[in-house]
Amino acid sequence: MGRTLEGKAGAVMACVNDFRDFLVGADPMQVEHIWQSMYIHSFYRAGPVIGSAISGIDQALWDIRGKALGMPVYKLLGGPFDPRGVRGDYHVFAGNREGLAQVRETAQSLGITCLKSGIPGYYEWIERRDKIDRAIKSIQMQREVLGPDIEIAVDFHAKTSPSVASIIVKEVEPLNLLFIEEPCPPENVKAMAKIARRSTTPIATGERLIASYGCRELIEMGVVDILQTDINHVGGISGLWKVAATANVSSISMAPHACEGPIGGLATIHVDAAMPNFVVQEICGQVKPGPNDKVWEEWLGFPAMRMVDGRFPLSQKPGLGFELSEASLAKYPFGGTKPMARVFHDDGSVAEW
Amino acid sequence: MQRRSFLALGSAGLAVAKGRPPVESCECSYFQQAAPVGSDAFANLHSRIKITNVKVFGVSLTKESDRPYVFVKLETNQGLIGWGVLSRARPAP
Repeated sequence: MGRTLEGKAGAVMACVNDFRDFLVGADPMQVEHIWQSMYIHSFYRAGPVIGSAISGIDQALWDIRGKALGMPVYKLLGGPFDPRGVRGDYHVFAGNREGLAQVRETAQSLGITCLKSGIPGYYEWIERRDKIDRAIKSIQMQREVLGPDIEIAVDFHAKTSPSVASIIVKEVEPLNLLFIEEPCPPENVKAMAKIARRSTTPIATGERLIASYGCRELIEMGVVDILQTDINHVGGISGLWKVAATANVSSISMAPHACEGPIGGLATIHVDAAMPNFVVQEICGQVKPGPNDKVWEEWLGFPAMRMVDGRFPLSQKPGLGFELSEASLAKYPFGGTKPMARVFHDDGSVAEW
Repeated sequence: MQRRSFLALGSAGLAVAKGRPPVESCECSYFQQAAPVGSDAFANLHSRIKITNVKVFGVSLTKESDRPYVFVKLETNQGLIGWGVLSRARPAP
């Protein structure tokens, strides 16, 4: 499962407030001009905090634009490619055959064609063979139990070094995975290239990248097959749309990262529906609805991130296609910024999670 | 004649020839005179909608949540509301 700007909630809220004086009085129909102003006039190029603030504001601008023009955002972008909706994948956490078999049965009854999983544990830069074998066997078990008709994407979550990832990727090549995600930390493009050279399994990354500029090196070096930028951080609808267009001309596909939330999720579906190079949209939910689905339905009045016959339906309403009240959010007051996850190896060194 | 003026004349003529009113009547204002250089360069292209307020909400599904949602709400002088989000939350209990 992807992670999203943990521990920086206070910072991004402050950043939105920093943009307030610029935004009040502006014409919200000038979406790109506002986007460029927020990005360029910030002078220091957007990292995750500024990028996230721009993303939330940009989504709201597109929501207004669609409502003003009486049209869903995906139609403003030239979509949809597939009127049946946007193909999606749920996450699968089952660690044994029985659990996986249940997931397979439920997934097939729902028309789900793709699932995303992870690898167990945390990994040193050079790792023991038994630990690497555990990861390989975990993926092999998923393929054996889920069968050939469900596509499987496996998220390494940058927990592995290029050396460790290369071994695993080579071993699981016969399993025909849909893609392997973040096989190493994303800041080192040459390391990612090293893994890509050793495998024919498609490599995906991008959830931590900001704006199309942040993806340029990966695209130009031909390192990745699939980009997974996140609409909540890459620069909103405008940012994700530009990344998709940039990737498209280099024959790179898109599987945008899940925003575990109904607003970002719905916004992403609008962009997905208009992408010529779209593969699949993940959502941080499982085949059976969980507590989050209940909260989202309470907020929006419909099961926002549940698929129908393996696809997220497309709204016919203008804008992003939902109404939200401040009162419904007030039931869940802000509890402040909490520390991020802290994970360590046995020797006390800091581990990727 | 400037390029934009030329396009405006051409567009209006074409519309009249087809029995439709010239494009200016839709208030789209795309065929105005060339915009001046500088901060007012887009003044004539603006809609009549203005952002009047920016609200930001932190939302924690639980008191212990280390991943609160952060929502943005833009309000306008035309009553149009826009929502966005810029983070996500841990699963609810």
